[in-house]
Amino acid sequence: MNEKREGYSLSAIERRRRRRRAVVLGWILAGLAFMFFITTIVRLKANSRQAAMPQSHESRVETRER
Amino acid sequence: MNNLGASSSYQRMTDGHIDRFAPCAVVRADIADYFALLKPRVMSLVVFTALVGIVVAPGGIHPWLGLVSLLCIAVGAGASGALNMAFDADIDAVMRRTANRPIPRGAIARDEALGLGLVLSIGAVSMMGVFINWMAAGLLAFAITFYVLVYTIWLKRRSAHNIVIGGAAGALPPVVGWTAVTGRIDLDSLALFAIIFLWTPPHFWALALYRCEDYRRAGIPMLPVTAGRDAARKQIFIYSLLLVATSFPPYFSGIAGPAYLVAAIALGGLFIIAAWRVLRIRAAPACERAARQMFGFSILYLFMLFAMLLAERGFGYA
Repeated sequence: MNEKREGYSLSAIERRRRRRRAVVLGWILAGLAFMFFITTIVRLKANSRQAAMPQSHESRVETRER
Repeated sequence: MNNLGASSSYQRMTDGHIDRFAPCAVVRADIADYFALLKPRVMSLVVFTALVGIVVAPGGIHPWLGLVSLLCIAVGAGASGALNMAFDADIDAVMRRTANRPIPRGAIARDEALGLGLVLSIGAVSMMGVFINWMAAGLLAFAITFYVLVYTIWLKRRSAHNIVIGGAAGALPPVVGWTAVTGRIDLDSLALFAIIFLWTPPHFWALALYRCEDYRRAGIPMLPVTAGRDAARKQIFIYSLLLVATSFPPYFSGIAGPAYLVAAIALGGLFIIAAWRVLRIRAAPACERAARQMFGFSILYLFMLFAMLLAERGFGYA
């Protein structure tokens, strides 16, 4: 298990930057999830309000004639 | 072999030459580099003009959906910027103004910028389509495609009219904003498009006048490089007259009120004076100063004109 690790090793600055990128990406993903949720609620609300709206005058006349 | 320590990780040797834009094994970029890749200053103007499109459009949109539309437009603009930088990395590296961008600086690999631009483009267009409407999404997709394919890849290195035709992409955000609200493209929204479309050539030619050597070195056929500075000055003046004339239709069509008309007359007068100074002043240091002033004022002009539309709607004058 004492095998020597080969390849490029990150410097302290690079490690810090990688961590910062990961944190920002995490916040962006959380923000997206929140945005999708709120947008879905807003759209659902608008659609249900539209569905619950009373019939228009034209459609009422149409229904009566039938 | 170069001995640049950690930075050598993103400089690969290809055929004996250092390919500064080759993909890198170790990503060293900071968040600020990714942000710079999205051209935040251009993005801010795009977001502002799109906001005006959303606010002045007839009807209304739920404030949250308006915010989502703006986000989609901002991300789309950022994606265009990243794709532009990916394709133009070679010319950015030789121009003083752009040499410090993330790709020529070696902070971000070209392929990475390309990937980021594509992912953001697809994400922005899809979100616009699913959450707002597909007409606005189609327009956003068209604007991104036009900017990348027609302007960046095709015209920028081949035609002196690159900025005239390519300006259509930058002029679309208020139309996209408008369409997000109405679901259709109206003639009134095209009036906003026309203002930005005619604003773009004098704005960029003023920049090209005092960055002429930079563009010549990079081999970009901007008008002052191909036709000469005097021809460019004439064109700036002609386009400025056309721009000022185009700033009045929003008042006559009813989407703007009297305050906008007064601002359009005053700002238009100043714009023509700035263009006239560029046309007349030919002596060495003063002509550069006139071009710089024109470039700076053109940004203020567009901002103020659109801010008036916004303010009038906000105070209920229009």
